[in-house]
Amino acid sequence: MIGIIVATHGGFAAGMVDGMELLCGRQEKVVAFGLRIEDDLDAFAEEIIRKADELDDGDGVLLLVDFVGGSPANITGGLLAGRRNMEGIAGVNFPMLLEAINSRDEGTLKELTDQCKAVGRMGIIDIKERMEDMEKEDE
Amino acid sequence: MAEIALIRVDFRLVHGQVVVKWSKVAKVSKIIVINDVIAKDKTLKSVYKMAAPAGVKVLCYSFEKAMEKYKESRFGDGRVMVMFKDINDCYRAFKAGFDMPKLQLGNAPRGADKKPLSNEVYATGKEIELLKEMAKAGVDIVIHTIPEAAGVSFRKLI
Repeated sequence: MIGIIVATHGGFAAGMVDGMELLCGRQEKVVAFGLRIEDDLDAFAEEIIRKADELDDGDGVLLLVDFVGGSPANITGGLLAGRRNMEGIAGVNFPMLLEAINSRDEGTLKELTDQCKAVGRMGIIDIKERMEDMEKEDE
Repeated sequence: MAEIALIRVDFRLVHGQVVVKWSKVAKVSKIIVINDVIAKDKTLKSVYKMAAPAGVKVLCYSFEKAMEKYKESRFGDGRVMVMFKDINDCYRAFKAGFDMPKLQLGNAPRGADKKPLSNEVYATGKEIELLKEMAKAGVDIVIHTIPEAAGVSFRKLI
């Protein structure tokens, strides 16, 4: 089973995982990391590597970080470059995390990564616009 | 000659506070990272280049190359933010003739022999001496981590 690590600023990662489990139930192999202002960056990175090693049963690990340019993305960017069985996406959102959980038994790590990127993008919707489109559909 | 809008010491270099806040407050088009380790490491370099906010270019120079570029044309054109990883590198640049009317201390980590200048900025006795020397020479040093919190003048702390 592909392991999922969510790493963000503050409690965002834990909050997202909490919300996800409300919908999907308790999950195995999902870990949230939240960077706090007082945290040591090297220690934070080491913890993520340790967790990734632990989660990887051969299927690999998908890392979801909050945004390119933030410390969670910066420190893990260097880690990802040297790891074969780990992929990373920046710009995690709730639809993306749900997709990661729901589809991680269905394909390879690379396929899951592509799928999560696509679903994350598609999940951003202007609600009023979408509702108007729906109304037009019936006309 | 580029206009140097902000000079900042931050051990995290181009990260959230800089990308989301300072680059916008200072309205810069370029961020120059001056650090020997990063300039030599292809992976780290691309991490920080990728970290650039939209419309902003990140350039990573070794200390030597940065001084060359500074003396040549002050980093070309546009508005620029200059970043150092630590106080020592910044002091080196100052001594090498880098014009520093104002210096921002953003983040410097805790350490065994360090004293806090704020909740986010820690300095060794040696580093405090370097800062004092710079302040005496006219550098307006401000401890300022995020724009939403007030900056504190280094002069007021010593």
